[in-house]
Amino acid sequence: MKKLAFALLVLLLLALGTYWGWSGGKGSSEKSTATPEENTNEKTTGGPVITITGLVERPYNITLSELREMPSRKVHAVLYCVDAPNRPLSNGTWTGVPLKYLLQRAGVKENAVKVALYASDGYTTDLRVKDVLADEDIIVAYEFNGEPIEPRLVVPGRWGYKWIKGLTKVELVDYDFKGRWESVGYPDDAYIENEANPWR
Amino acid sequence: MKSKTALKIVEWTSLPLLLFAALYFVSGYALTSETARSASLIMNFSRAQLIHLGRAMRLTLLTLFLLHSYAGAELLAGKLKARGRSLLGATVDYTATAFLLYVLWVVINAELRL
Repeated sequence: MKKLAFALLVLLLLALGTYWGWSGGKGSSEKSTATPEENTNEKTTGGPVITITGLVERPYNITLSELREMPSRKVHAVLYCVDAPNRPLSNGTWTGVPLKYLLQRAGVKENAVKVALYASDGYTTDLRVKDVLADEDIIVAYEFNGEPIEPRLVVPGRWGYKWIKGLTKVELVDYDFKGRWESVGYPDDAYIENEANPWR
Repeated sequence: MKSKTALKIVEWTSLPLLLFAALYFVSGYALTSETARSASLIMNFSRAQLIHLGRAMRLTLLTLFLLHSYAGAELLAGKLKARGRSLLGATVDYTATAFLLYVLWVVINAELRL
């Protein structure tokens, strides 16, 4: 009986602590928890959004509105996250500019082997230059199902950790750059072996 | 909980716990290490995902963990009390209860939001 009362007391304290944590958190981080999609309007009118730099002939910055003026491509692709492979995170049509086009516009130097990709929140990932140049479906998307989104990489057939969002910098490098998850051992190619059923 | 029951729980959960915990560790390492994937002989990235991140696996391991450690703590507390160290026994008993409730609380909240 004493122990049951003790257990109930512990649960009550946990419930109270959790409630206070939630209500405190909501108030203090309201601004910072806005999703990139919610910040789209700010980005559409802002300055440079993506920097193309590193081993290129002509480094440049590009705004979202400039991105929208470029030759675009619609890609139907499913976004699968490693920690929930049994359900697609997003499934639809992405509109954007092939990353290949952005790199070629800058002029890729011969010694570039990897594309290092950086996001506004510090997230990083990478792709091989030859893969990017061979696949026009790898796009920097600015629309999903007709709705504007903040620039995000769409890499069909690969795990979500390659689909970097809030893209701010594309840097070509001559070494084996590894992004956040790739550097802790996630496969660098990130191919989903069986996209029809990623669990298997 | 009676000592006999606690002992039976500890005994019967020990082997499944061994198996599931081992799989969980191996798949966890295999998820983030190419070397571990090779060394494990049986894991590739997809399999490691399936085992380590699957809800069924997670909840089974959790159930075994809670049963095994709660029953084990009860046994230890009972033994301490029987030897006249009631305060220490009660401390073990109540601390284990509080800690396991805390784990359960976190899990329930997390699983409900998944």
